[in-house]
Amino acid sequence: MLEDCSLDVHDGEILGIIGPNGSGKTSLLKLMAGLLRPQAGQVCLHGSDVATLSPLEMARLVALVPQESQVLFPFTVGELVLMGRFVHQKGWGWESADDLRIARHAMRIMEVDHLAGRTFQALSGGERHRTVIARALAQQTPILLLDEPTAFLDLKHQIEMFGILKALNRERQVTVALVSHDVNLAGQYCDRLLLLHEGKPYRVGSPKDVLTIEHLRVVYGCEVLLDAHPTTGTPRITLPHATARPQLMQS
Amino acid sequence: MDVSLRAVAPAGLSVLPVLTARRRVQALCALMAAALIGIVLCLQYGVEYIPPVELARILMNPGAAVDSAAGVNPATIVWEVRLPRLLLAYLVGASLAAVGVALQALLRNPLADPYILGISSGAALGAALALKFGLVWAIGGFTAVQLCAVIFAAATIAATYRIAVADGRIPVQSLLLAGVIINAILSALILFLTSLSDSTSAFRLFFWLMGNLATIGYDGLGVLAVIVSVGIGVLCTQGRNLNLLSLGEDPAQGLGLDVEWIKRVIFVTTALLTGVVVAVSGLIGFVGMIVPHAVRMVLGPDHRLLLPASALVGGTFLAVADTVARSLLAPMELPVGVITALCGGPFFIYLLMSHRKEARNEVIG
Amino acid sequence: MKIFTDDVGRRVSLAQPARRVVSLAPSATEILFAVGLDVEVVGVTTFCDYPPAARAKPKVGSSIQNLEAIIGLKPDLVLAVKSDIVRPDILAKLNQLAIPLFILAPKTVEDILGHIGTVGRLVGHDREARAVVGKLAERVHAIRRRMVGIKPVRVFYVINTDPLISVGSGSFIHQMLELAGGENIVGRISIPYPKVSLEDVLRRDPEVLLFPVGASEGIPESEQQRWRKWTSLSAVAQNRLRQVKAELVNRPGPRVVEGIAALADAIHPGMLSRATGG
Repeated sequence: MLEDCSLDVHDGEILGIIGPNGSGKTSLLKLMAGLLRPQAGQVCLHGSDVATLSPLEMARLVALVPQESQVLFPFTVGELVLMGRFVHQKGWGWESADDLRIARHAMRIMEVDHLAGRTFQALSGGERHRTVIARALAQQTPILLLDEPTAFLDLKHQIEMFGILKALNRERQVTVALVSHDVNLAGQYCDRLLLLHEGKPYRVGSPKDVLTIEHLRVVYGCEVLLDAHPTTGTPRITLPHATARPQLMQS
Repeated sequence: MDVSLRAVAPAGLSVLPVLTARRRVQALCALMAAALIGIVLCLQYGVEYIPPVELARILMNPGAAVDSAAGVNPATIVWEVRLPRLLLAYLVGASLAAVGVALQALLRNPLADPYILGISSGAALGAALALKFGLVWAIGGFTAVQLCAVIFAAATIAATYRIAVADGRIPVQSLLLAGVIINAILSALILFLTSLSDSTSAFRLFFWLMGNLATIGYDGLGVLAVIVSVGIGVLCTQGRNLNLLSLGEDPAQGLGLDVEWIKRVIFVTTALLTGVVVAVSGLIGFVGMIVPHAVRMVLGPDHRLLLPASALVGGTFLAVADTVARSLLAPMELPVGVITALCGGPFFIYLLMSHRKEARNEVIG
Repeated sequence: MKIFTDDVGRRVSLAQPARRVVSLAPSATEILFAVGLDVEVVGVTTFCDYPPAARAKPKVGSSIQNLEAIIGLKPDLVLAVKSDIVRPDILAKLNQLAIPLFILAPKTVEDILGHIGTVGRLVGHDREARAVVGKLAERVHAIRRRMVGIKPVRVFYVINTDPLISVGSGSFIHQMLELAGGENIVGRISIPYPKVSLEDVLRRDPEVLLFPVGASEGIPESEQQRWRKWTSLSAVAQNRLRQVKAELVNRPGPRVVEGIAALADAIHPGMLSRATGG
């Protein structure tokens, strides 16, 4: 349940949406993607109300990577990534050489091109996630929304993921909004952060503004240790050591 | 780590293992050839076997079928009895399979079959009423029973739609639920009607329900062929859209599909096709469920090929099944639903086994 | 105490002739009245419409029998016919309550006549039953005699056109057709009411098509049309699409002989009346 949410996402920025479970992060993303309709208020994209745009028009502007994907039928990775080209296809929808090239490129970037012939169902969690991201990349939209992009990814791929997002942002001016559990990664890579608390925006601003001990204590309900990332200087959160609490073990 | 997209740009075109227009045409041509061969083979069988040479002669000579004073000759049997029935089997089998594919994508349920939305029960109720009240008029090559079945099927479609639609949108769960409810109510009504009937009427309805490829003339066949072609044709144009739809409504919409529009198109087309098919052939099970699965296993899940291919395979399958049903214990005929079930059962066991093996491998691997 | 064995092998014992009988089939009802019962028939089905007195009797159900109604009438004998659907749970209940249930399963005309005799003994009307059976048997013999030397005509009995259902040798109707001077073209199928192949019918070329119809109906126009398009069929070419009153033919009761006569009339018109004058 989201309430009183007024937000401006700037063109060409990377926005991170953080907050505890149930604070409305995924709903916000879905609203931005036009998959949910607001009961009050508007979602506007480049000046037009999202509710007036057809799914096709929306999909040319926004690509959404959901947290989880279920593919019922044995589609291969190649077929799935190609589906991202739907918005750009004309006529009977047979893939053009361009479509194939772009899809192949997206798979290469996300390192799933060697899996092109494997079915989605046969992949690991991380491989599936990378496939879905590759599909969104193939869609070639100016706006990219990602729900927990680093979930299921191992360390190497997590770093690469953000590297790709930064590259897209810099070279193609793609606006990125992502939801993340990982406060540190979000703080490290995002231009701005939106901290949600019980369905309402608590604080919007640069990572330094948002990631303070007081803010995190209010929103997350716990104490954290704060220092700076050795290379980038962005705020870095460390969790304090939990002492064993004997009262917990008594029944 | 600094990643630049330009650095990763690929050199030439690479071949992706996906469906191309050419491969589709090849596959469909092969299936059409198989279908034609199937027809010719099936024409040989019946109460008495007609050898290929004689069959060829009969087929070259449509005029000979006109009744001679010599009585009923093999030419009459081929042209007036076997061929219309085979063509009907093709039309019915193709429709059931195509509808099965579309509904499995729409409902995201691999166990969906044409009867899941309750349209068939509506048609059956119409037929039951016509049989109970002994309606006997006939229009344009169709009997009262068949026409009543279609009318009731149309009413059922409207009712299911009304129940499921909310706010201009059709949530898929509502559609499924509406189908289940309608099925239950209408089946109960049919049972009620049966209980009021004497044994002869109950008997007739029972046989009708079991599925029967009616003796239909070429005039009726013509109308049916037009309806079926249009219906299956519409479904085939939605191949690409069905690929997306099968991913789920949210992902599909996110990729640009107008989900509400296509749901409406698929629902109306499949419902109409099912209603018409049940009206002429009763309830023939398994075709709409097994054929999509089997074809998907061999040719892949891309609906641009899966739909037309399933239609062709479904038609051939039912034609062969019907040939077995009417030849095996001749002159007695088995209900064709028995043959399709006997094929369907073992197939499903096989599916279940292979699925379990896969699941076990996933856990290990 | 008399012990009777019914057609499915069940043993029914009666200390004295049954005085309160419930019938679960129209044919059984006709038999009961034929052997002289009236007051003793305490319950019938909604389909029991002959003789007219039967219509006034209390009803115990239509195709589904109402157990409460049956029991409420306190019968000392319940008659059922195997081909009509009797629910097994009702049978079980009647067994449990020790209400004698006698099941008839006629396969031939002789069976039917035998049933009349058996029922007569069950209700203590032996003599009347024997008289009735005697007369009926005589009529059957007369018809047989008349048919001697006459070539049987190929007939096809159309229970239903679509799907195509007829009678096989497992049904008493098959024998009725033969007695009436007909040759049932699908008689080699042993199942009583098989679904048959149109191809086979066309091949065997029946000379007469028989349609059982209700008391006031004729053969429906559309059904006639469906058959008339096979102009090479002898039956169509000679315009021998005949109707018979369904209840005379499909009830294995005392009117079975009238049924045979009706069939004979349809198959060999005028043959019977010419011979015996009635």
